Amino acid sequence: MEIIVENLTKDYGQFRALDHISLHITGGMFGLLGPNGAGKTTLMRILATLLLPTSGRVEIGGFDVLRQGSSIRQRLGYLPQEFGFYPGLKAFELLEYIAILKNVPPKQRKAQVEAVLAEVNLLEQAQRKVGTFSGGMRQRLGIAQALLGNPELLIVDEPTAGLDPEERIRFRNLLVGLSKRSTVLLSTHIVADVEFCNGLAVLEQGKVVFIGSPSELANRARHAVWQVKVPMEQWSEVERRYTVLATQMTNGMVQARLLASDRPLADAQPLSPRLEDGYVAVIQNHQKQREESYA
Amino acid sequence: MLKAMFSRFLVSFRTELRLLTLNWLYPLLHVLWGALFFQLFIGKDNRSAQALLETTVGRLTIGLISLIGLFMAGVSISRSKRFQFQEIEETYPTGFEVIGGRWMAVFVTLILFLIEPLVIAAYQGPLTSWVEGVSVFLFDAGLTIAFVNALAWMLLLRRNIDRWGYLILAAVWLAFLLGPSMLSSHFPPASLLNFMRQGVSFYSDVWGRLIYGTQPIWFNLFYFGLFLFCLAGMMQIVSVRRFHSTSKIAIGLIVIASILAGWGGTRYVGGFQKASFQNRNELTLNEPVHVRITGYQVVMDLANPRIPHFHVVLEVLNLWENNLEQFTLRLNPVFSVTRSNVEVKHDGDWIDLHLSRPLAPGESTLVILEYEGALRVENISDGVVETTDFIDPQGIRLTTGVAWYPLAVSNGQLADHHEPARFSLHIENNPGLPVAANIPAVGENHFAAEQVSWVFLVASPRLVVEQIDDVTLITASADLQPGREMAVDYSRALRAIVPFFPNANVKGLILMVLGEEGGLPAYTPPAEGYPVIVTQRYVKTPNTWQSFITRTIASDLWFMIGGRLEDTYNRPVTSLDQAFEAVVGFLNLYRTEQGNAEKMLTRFQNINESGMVVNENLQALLEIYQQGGEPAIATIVWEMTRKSAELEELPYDALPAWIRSIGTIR
Repeated sequence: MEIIVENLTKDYGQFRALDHISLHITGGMFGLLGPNGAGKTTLMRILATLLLPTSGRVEIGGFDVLRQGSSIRQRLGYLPQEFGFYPGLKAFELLEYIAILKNVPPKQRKAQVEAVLAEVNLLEQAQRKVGTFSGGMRQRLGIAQALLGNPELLIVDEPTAGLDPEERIRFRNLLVGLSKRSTVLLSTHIVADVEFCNGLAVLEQGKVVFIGSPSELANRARHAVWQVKVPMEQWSEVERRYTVLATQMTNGMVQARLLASDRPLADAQPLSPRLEDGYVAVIQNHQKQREESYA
Repeated sequence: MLKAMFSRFLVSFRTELRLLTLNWLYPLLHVLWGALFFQLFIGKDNRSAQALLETTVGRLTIGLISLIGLFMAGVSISRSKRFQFQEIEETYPTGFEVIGGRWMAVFVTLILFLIEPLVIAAYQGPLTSWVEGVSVFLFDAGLTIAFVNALAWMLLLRRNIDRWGYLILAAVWLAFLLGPSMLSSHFPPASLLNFMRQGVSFYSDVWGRLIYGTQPIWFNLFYFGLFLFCLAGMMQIVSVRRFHSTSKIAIGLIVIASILAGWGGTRYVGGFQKASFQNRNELTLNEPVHVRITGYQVVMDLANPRIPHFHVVLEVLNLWENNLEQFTLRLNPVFSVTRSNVEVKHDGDWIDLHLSRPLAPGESTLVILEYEGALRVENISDGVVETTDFIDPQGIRLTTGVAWYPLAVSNGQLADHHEPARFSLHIENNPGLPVAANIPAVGENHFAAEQVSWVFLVASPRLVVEQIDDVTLITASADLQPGREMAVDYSRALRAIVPFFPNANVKGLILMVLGEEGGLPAYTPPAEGYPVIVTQRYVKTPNTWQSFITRTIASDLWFMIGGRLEDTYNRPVTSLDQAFEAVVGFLNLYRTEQGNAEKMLTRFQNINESGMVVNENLQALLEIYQQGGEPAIATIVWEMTRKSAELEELPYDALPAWIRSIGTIR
């Protein structure tokens, strides 16, 4: 499902949450990456028809988000960052209720509810009250409700936050699987979550600072990632001068992964960049540009 | 599309209903609710089932459900937000039907709270009264619940509820509970704001809602309009929030709702203006009245019950020392005189009659008057418009005070009563209404008696007239059973008391057990041979009830043997009043101890020992009774009534000696 975002701006009073954003998403799994407060959730909520833009145009599958919200909702599955369900209902009852709200035809309703429960591995818990679910189960149930009605667009906001590593991997795999039949829009501040996206955008302070593939993002840090090994007493100076991506202590020495445009130390070894390095490079670059423009 | 919408409405309704009713608080609330009604009403309020539903039980139910409704609506509205489901829910392809379904679930949940009051009323009976009352109660309560629920939903949808939201709702409830009552004395139409119907009772056991005219309809129409307005408001809020557009259906409904509410409210307030205007009529005459009407023959023709026709023959006596050519009588201004044997000029509440030949002093003449008109006299009482006197195809309620027959009124006085006269009232072409009066029936639709000083005529399909021993019971069918018990009490008391008033020539007793709606007459003098008691059936403890019986019978018998008793309000109590009180006290003791002098004295002494002031007048009566029995007391009573003027002047402390002196004379 094609998503076109043009010059999208959203203001909350004096605060500009989104600043003339433009995106073109053609399908598959698309990631929105950015630090907290970058505007990801605001963008997601506009795409999910929950918020009105201040200006700009958003079109989803040919439907205008402002005028044709109902048509979009008919094709949408949404899982917000913070959500819950009525704890007194059983999982099956809850999904059946939602299936009716989402206009799932009566004949398909039961089968579809069972199918999504199976898909998120909750079929055995179908008769359990939602209030007794663990965080991971609740998250999966959240995806299950979003999948009801076979949506063409699935919007998931920070879906892996708070999950343990095993759950996170399972969840990521589930989304990858879903992206084969629907457009999946994933928002996260965890870089590893977008590794499997076809495309991604990085948002920083309401602006899109990068659009491309994960490998293109990683490439933004090409020739700028170094490994250094310094004694403990020199470490504070290194840490002050360079952006540290990772550190490790070995025999009184600090082995670190740094971001630097030039070789930081004589014995520094160049490394091939990872996605996370690219992300940090993009964010830093943007911050630097902003500081320069202020100056 | 409609089918899918209906499915969504239904599933929202079902789910919300389940979430509300399967919460442990809900059955607990029902248990407390039932216990409250049981505690407050069972054995403590002997109104009929319909009267309970229309007054005490009904008002409490509607008032409290309004409060519960505001909170329950708040709980329901905030549910999605509380459980963080709102954001997900709002991305579903739904519209107003989901909110509508949830609103309906709260409505049904609240309606289920009507079961307990209905059970209480059914337990009270009679069944016919319950059956008649159920639909009106359900409608009134349902409308209030629907309105309150919709109002809360509309307000809370507009602004998401926080914890303080409940406090605001409670404050709104309290303001609307107390505000209209506080305002009603200065601005009676404020009762329109009383959506909980507190203090507003549109019901009488005898006339149903007839005495409130169309006011209940306008009241309900106003709230139906407001309910529709709130519903449309909810629709509009959802439409703007979900579809970023105005709902044409909602706008249409808002227009209709505003028209209905405006119409209902205007007519309701208009009812007050009309009643206030009626009350501004000038009812005093500043000229002396030189005539007395010594006989009335009144024929009320109900061929057209909305515009009854009266044919009245008056026996007019000239009290003046001069020849009389012209005199003035009072007649309700709604009547127009159609025919007369004298020249008549009708001016407001007064008719001037010009005789064709002068009437000599002490001479009588017959005056014939025919008049007709639609009579409906309204009053404002406790913030509602109440019809005190009316003639309607569905019922009649007429008191002398509205001058539905001509009255010779003394200078500057309003006439609730007139000089005792021979009175005959015949009702022709009665449309089948059971009819009764405070004067004895001498035939079908015919009432007549001597010495009649007021006429209270009542008619209603619900009216029952039953003879129980020497008591003519006049009451509403719903009150028949307690009325019968009261009649038996009165019959027994009458037999016990009459021997002390041998000159009263008692032929029977007329007992009118009516609701207090429209106002019970304050002073009900007897017709010749018939004490008249007008009372309500409610709330008296056995002791006060027996005292009430004694006092009401004794005062009428006192009057029938020529005694006089004035209202003690705003004047000093005289020894005559104390003499009457002593007689009532004696009769109470006499009835309690069934005339056993020893026991009466013992009881009297017990009362004195309990620290109360010794009633020496009563003590004197008891001593005389011990010596001379009933005839001695009857003599004292007779002397008391004959020597009223002497007693009025007598110092209080001389009264026991006076009583003893009369007893000794014998």
